[in-house]
Amino acid sequence: MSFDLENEDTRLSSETVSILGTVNSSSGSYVEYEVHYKGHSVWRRYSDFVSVRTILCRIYPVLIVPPIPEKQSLLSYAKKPVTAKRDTKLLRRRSVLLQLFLGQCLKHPILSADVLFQSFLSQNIPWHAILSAESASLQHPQKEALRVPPLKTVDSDPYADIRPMMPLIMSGTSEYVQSDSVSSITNETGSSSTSSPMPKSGSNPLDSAPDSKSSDGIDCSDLKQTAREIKTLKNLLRNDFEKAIQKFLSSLNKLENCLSKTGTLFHSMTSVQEIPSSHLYHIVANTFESSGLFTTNLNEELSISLYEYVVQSAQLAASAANVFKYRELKLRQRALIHDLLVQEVNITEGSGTTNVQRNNAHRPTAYPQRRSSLFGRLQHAFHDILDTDSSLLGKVPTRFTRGELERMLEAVNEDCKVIDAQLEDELTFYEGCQKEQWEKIASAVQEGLYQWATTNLTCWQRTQRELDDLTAELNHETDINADEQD
Amino acid sequence: MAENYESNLPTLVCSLSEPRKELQGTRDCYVSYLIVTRSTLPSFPKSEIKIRRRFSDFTKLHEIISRMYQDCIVPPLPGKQRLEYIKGGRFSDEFISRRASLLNRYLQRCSSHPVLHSSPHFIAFLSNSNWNNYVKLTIQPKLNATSKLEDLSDAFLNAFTKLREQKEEYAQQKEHIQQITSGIVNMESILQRLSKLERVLEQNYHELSDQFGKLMAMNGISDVSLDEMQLALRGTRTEFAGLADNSHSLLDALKDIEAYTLAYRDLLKRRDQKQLDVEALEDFLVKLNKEKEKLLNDKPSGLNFMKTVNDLRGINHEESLRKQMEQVDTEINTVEQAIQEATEVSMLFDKRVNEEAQFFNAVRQAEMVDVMRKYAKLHVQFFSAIKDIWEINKQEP
Repeated sequence: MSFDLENEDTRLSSETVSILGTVNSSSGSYVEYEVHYKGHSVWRRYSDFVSVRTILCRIYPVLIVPPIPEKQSLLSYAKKPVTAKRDTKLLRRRSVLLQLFLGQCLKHPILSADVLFQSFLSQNIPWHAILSAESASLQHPQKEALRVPPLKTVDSDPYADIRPMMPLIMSGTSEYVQSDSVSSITNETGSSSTSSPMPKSGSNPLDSAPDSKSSDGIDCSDLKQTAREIKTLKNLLRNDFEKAIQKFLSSLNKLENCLSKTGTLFHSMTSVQEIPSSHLYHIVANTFESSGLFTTNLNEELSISLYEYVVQSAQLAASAANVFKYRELKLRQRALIHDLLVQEVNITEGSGTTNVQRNNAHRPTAYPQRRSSLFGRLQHAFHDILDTDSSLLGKVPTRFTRGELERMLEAVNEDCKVIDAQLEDELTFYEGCQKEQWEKIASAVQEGLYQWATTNLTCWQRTQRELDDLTAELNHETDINADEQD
Repeated sequence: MAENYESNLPTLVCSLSEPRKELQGTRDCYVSYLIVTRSTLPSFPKSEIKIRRRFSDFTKLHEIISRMYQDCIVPPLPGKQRLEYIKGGRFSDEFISRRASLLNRYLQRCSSHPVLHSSPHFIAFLSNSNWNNYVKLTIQPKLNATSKLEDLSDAFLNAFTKLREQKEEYAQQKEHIQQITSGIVNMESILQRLSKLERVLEQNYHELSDQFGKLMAMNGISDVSLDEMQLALRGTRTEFAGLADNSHSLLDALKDIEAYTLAYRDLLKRRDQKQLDVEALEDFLVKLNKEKEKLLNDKPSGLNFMKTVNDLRGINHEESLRKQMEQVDTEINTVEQAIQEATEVSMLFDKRVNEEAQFFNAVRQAEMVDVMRKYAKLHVQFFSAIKDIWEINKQEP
């Protein structure tokens, strides 16, 4: 089945993407969406979309990745035991939202240029095949993303400029940095280029201690404000707004039921023997039935263009909030490393310390330790890496050398620079998306309600005319009767 | 709704409007309504009369008509208490306006009724400046308590008596009435549900407009079109409120038609009463004839107790028998005469009932169409307003 979905993207008009429709897979066990891009179609199923988005989020924690429609929760499955592939409403909803996802990604300069994303859109091979091919050539990018790559890459690593140098694998309870990553730092020291300043030459990493201004000059307090606003928006949308819309849509549902019942009632009364009454009930019955239909249409329309789009907007805000959170975490990481380095410097410069003393050095808590809930996704990555390197268990070092710390601090600073450089663009992208989204919502609501009002108006006007005619008929009859009474 | 008969038939057209609170501030405060009547009836004092009446005047008129015109379907008067649940009690604007429209319907029905519109009492109501006096002088003597009691006792006596002969056409009419009233009740209930839903939607639009307002205060979404959207939502809410308010008057009208239909049912009951009277008399006649039979067949026999008693008393048995026969005969004659009168009355009443039924059905259907017309008009206005609200919005790029 195909839907009439038009992508209103005007910026990249030559590169619009649309979902033309859905089709059952060859085995019939799942639904595939036809993604049409640059004149070609590929077929992707919902889980492919989930997968590509997860990957993009992992590779680019700095970017605001647009959201996709949520998976079916168990609750909604329980409510309506219809599998996804049969539920036409769900399919339509997903098609619309997935198209939105693709469109927004295309608008993002970095995301749209991503090799993986491009192949998602254009290579008509099963997605898992693409993934295994890519991972072979890029060494498991989703896991690789969290290792620290060589400080300067010799081979082309398309993710190098965005991927953070310093993995954020720090749980709240320990300040240990993954030894594997540390060893890769030390391993790659030899191949470091001049572009990344070594601690001994040039700038002292200690100079770029965490201060109130970030490296890019964006005012931190301003950013905090923005982050807060985004969070507030998300909360507002997800809670009050969504509830208000749900109540509204349910009222529309009740209204359409009531109208159709009224129509049925009047239809049942047309069997009365008096002709004028029968005619009257017939006219009225049709009116109410039509009115019910119009309300049904409105309900269907708004449940996507109002409800789903608003939810999408909230998800986008959540995505943006995540990026801000990531930035927060990076800053904390930097502060932590900085403190460790300071401490280390003090220890080594205040000479004559023994290893024991070093081991017993007080671990600063520059920032209040947070529980692992903040690090959910990254902890997952942490376990990922642990899994692949089980030999590391129990070998986590308790401290690092000054040199190591200095290099780590360098890496973190680089990351922070990257984040802040990207942040402004991201915010522009985000705001652009939201603005466009809400304009769409507003115009859809306007259109929907206008249509509803117009169709109903025409219907009731016709009813009015018919009833006027009926009255004239009745009056005429009474006049005739009056004449006869003469 | 006044029917326009042929121009050479005298007409009476009246309308009720302009409720006004009289003697405001005092304990005797009441509401008066302006009635304007134009008539070509010869018995009407002037061609146009304007007069003010209050609700209790209406009740007196209704009482008079109910008594005097037993063979008519008397339009019902809106109940005193029925509308009191409205906030503000009997002096709130809403209550007054709803009562005014119901009283207007009452006048329309009377003025278009073939018999009632020329009733001297109705004309007096429309024209006589001293209504209270009129009521006292002309009617009151006849409305004495005993006659009420008589009616009551009669009604009681025959309340449980069933008709011997159930005439087919009246059974049909009763069924017809049942059909009508149940139809109206169903209509009322579902239209009331619709009205409630409209109120809920009003609330929803209110909430949505608030939410959009909050949204506008957020950054990143400071969009011009949202401002208009909020206004449009507010406007829609107002329209829904208006629709729900106005639907009330239509529900009132439906209830009123239901009450009118019940008045028709009352007429049928009265008709049954007349028939019962005839049948009761006929039964009595049968009884009398049996008695006569008995007397005629009375032969002197030794076992006749009465004869023995009479002999003892020294009464001439034949003489007393003869006297008894005379009495029975006289009674039979009276009863036969009564039967004749009653039958005539009953047949006349039947004819009247059929006329009334015809008039009633025509009026009822016209009223129903009118109710639906007003309902349609209401909705046309409503949707037209909403269309305008969202059309303005649409024109924004």
